[in-house]
Amino acid sequence: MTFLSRRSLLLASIAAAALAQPAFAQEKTIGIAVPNLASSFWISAVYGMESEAKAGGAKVLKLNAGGDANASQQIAQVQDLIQRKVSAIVIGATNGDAVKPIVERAIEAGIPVIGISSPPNTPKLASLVSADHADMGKLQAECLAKAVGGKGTVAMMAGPAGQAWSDLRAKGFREALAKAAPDVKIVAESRLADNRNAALGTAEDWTQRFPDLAGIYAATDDMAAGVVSAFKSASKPVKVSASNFSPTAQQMLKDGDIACTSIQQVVAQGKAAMAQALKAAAKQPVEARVVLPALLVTRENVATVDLSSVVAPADYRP
Amino acid sequence: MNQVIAPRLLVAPAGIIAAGLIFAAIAPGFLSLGNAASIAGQAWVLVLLATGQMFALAARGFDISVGAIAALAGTLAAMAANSFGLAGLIVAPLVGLACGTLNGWLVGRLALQPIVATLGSLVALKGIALLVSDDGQAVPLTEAGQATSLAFDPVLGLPPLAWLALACVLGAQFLLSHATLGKRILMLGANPEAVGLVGADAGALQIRAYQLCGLFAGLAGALMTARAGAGLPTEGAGMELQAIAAAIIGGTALSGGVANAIAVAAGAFFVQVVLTGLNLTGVSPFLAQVTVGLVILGSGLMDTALRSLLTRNRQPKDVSP
Repeated sequence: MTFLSRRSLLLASIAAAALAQPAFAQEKTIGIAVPNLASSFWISAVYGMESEAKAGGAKVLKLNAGGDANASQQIAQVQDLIQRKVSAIVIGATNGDAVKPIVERAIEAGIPVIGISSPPNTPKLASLVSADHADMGKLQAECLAKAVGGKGTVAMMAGPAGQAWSDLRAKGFREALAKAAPDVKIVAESRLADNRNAALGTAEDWTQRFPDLAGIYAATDDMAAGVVSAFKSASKPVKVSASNFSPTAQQMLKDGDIACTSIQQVVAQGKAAMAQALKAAAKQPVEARVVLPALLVTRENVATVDLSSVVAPADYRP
Repeated sequence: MNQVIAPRLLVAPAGIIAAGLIFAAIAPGFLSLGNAASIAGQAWVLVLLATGQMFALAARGFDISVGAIAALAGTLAAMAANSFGLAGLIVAPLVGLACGTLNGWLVGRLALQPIVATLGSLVALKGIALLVSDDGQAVPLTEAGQATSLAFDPVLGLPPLAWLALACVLGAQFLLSHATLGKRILMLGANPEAVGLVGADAGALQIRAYQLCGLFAGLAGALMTARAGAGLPTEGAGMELQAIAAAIIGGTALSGGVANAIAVAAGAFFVQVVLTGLNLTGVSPFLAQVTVGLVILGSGLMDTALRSLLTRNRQPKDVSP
């Protein structure tokens, strides 16, 4: 019995402490919902958002769905953000269709929503910030065509299906390749892998299925890393082009493992999205569409590129 | 009705209270009616998955394919709903039942280890979901607005689909405590030999347990589809583990024979309270993940602690009727 009463006393005091807390200060809180913080892209984007929010004196709530397939998780997280009555939401969608209804609910509840990179599939967004993905695919095609000498076969590690970024990049690549090197043939396009490990597995199969591959398009640097490991361990030389610019990509570029990488200014995107979110939260006019141009980085120009708009510092942890 | 409540059934409710108090203190906006309603609407996918899992565990089995079943069932249901109207969502529990029958048959008739049988189904069902859905593209519902309204807009405190899920959980508990089938499944888990002695077919009971598991996973799939306004073929990874965690926190014995659907629902709510609370505090998402892991470990310890405390308090004077 003494145990019970002591415990109820403890519980009561915790409850009292909770109730005694002063009402929360009215500073702006911006909700951030991203699909996957294990990916270098979202780490850099969130870094950009956080630094912009800090500059604007706003707090952020960072929520990670933990993978592109975890749409249900992200729906629940957006529900929490609505509940929390954040001033605005910046969201990279796990799946543009699946999060559409909950995002529209947030907008109906009066919370402006800014899409970044992989937007929810709704026309009601306050603003949409993205890179020019088709341009990224195009830059890869031009670089890879040159690297393989304008002939031979290539394969595409094209990234997850149903994501605007991967679809646009792949499309940009195919169209530009047909123009830049009409003799190069695309023999495979995988839409299953969306991370390094899955790409490694698929690429291992390719070393057997297509022993004469001249080049490989990788939709992201993470996937390119998987491709490079597979072909290295099979001792098959192949030219790889990639997108994005994580520390891994920089190392691969220095080591000559990849020919080039077309990069979007990810940190700048994060900053731009947060800037729009802060404007929307303050009921100021926003830009409906912000498109940031892509850059091609090769071994030659890697030393001269300004990285601060591209990738988060190596010691940043979300 | 002087039933003694087993200490393990108290872990989840105690956890909910403890987590509620902690988050009320540290998470702004946690202690509000709106948030309570939001959690009450959110947890049901996990509740249904965990309830299904409970049947498999009660029969001393194991089902790691529940997430894949839910994804496939939800996807096919979305397709059916687009052809026949929202009533087509009824396809989801049917698909779940079919998948459960397959699992049950593999375990109960072919005597495969549950983990092998359901791992095989997990992989194969994921593949089927990708095949039927054009490489894993989501299948948007044409009546998405109506479906999401059923899943989000409260009627008498809970969204209509949450009421439906609650009814299913109560049905599951009624089955366990009052129906011969439920009692036999528990008996199968507690003492497989005894089942033969009362003249029941152990294999058939196992099939029933996995069918119930599949049925509930299918219901979870329908709910997922309604919440997203779209069938999600690639969804569900990791959900099987959350469902198992919730079922165990809810006092289901891994060794079979002990199960209570209401406690399992509480277990799922506990997991959801922790997830939502962490979401509202704004801690690093990585730290949040670590915390969820620790909470699962902690609830295991709480089970042990509660049991030893209650047995110590209960002196020779026992409460038997």
